[in-house]
Amino acid sequence: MRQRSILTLVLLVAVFIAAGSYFSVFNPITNHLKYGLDLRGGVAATYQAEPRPGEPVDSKTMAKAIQILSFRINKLGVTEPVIQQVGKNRISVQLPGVKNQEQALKFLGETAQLEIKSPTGKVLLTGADLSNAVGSIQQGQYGVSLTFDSKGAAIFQAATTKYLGKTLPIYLNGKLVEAPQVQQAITGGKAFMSGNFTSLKQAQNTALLLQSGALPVPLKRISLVTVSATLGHQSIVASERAAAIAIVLIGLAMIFWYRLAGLLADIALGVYAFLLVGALWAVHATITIPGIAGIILSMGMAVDANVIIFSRVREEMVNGKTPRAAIEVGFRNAIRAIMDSNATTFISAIILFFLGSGDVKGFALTLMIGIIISLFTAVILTRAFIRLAADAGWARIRAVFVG
Amino acid sequence: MSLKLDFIKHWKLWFILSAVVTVIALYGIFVRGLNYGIDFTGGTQMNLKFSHAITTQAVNRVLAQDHLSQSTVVMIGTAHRQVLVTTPTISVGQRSQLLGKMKAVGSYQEISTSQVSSIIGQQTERTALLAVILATVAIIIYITVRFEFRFAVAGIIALLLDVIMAVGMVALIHVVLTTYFIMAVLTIFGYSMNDRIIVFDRIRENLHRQKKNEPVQDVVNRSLNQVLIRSINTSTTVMLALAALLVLGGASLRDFSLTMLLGVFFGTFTSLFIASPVWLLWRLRDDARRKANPKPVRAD
Repeated sequence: MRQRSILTLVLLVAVFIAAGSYFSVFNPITNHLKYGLDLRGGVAATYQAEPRPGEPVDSKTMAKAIQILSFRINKLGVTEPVIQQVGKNRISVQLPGVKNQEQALKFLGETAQLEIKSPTGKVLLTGADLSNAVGSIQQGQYGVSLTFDSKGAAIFQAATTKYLGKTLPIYLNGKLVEAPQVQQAITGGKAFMSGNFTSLKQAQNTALLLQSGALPVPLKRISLVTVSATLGHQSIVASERAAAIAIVLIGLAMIFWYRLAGLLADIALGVYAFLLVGALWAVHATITIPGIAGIILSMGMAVDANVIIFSRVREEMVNGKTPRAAIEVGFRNAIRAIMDSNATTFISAIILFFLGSGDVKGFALTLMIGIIISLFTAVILTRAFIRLAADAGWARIRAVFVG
Repeated sequence: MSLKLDFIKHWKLWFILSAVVTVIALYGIFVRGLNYGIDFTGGTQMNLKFSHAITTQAVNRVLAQDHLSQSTVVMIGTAHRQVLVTTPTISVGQRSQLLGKMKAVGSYQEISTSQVSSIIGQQTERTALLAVILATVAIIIYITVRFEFRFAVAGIIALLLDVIMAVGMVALIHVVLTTYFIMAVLTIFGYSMNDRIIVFDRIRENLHRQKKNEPVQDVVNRSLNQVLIRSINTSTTVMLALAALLVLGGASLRDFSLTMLLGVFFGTFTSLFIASPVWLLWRLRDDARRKANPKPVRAD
């Protein structure tokens, strides 16, 4: 019995240490974690729909706006962008790794509202009637070649027939761009718009905006965050260092207070840290700076349960129970208190999760997952360790536990 | 282990001490005021790193040209190369214009920017208030179900004092606040309740084993002495983690770590010295009333 316990305990600890060093050295998890903008560098913005009077914003409008933004972001060639609706009338956009941040954002929020009007001012065609738009040069002029869809082409043909010899003014974003005279009826559904573009790039941008369609509602940028890759890297280094120091300090404190039991709790804490990071990877959580704060904070909280249990066990020992009996009674009595005390932190985390914005949610999620995992490592795992240690006879010397 | 402190006997002293700290904290909150950052007020903050040493005056001159003289410029580090410029809310165009003019000071790299509209700030405050109310109600319900109403109210009183003290000290130190500050306050709401629950749990357990004619005061005192070491130890581990975060975790989390650190510290104090005496005084009053009226109106 005794030898088997020693063997099992030593084996278990060896397995955990081996696994721990494998994870720390080869880093199979942290390399696959998804890091947020604040750690990777990039740009994030929040847009708010500012509806024109009489045109309320509904979920359809928002979906359309998101679709258009996605199209434009695609054209920017950003890898792993995040575009999502926040609340009722906001869209948050995250573009990791974008170099020309300001220009990219300007492009996103821009509208290109094309209108071709009759000489009497009636709107005949809009950007919605286009099937394609391409930036091009015609007769030495930069411009946008417009192609209408079949319905648009029919209207265009009818209009050019009806207003032959008159002008059909073209408006972009409500501003008159040009007012060409109709020379002949146009049947192919093609037109060339020569705005006052100063470069082909500018004409191409406008063409892209026309291609993506006009935003169904004007978007106002209400927040902007840009982070350079250097700063992101510095933050990762700083938080890794903080996590390492925190775990060492907590580990030393536990050994100082609870000796052998503290050491076993430290091993359980190591297991906790790996399980937590693994769980965050499994739920595809994005790791951000507040998320890391959550991880570090939760390591301090994870040993809470151990402290509660060990204090209780020590108390029972002082009251004259045998080590094995003290361990059983201590664990049993402590679990109720642990459950009740973790519950309030969990309640706060749930509220934060549902009310908080993006990165605050990450913190709350880390806290919730951490509480659940710590119940396993601090109660079940540590109990297994300590029972084995007690059977092995190590905890028989009261001083080991009582300190 | 032979430690025997009389927590209850000096309850008036603890209450006076707490009142003094609370008054200082309230002075901090209402007179000195919290140092709200752009997350709350709206505005633009730019972190620029220049290729050579510069002066804040040079940066201020550029700001003054754009009529942004109410902005603040803070040097980061000792090399005088990196500055944090905070301006009131400016438009996209104004920002690029300003960044263009900054080149006159020296060539620079834009390390980070954050721009927040004041709409978001107002919303942040509203959401935070809602979260605090929800958390308070949820915790009161939880403790009432698991323990009793008196514990819930005593716990919440201690919790509110804890939060006021922590926030007051944050105001006095005048750290610039971000949305993470709210995250910290809400976490305190949940976490600093842990301590009180451990205390209440022990009081509840000891009440079951209460000997005949043993006064409730003694039960409470015994319970507090039993959990004292544990209480200090658990707070210490969390405070160690927070201290590491405060010193090494970078500037963006400073307000979070500091607020939490203070919250955990005051939380431990109020658990031991406020929550239990409040509960005890209430319980003794109820007991006295029951003795005076042998037939209570409420059948509980």
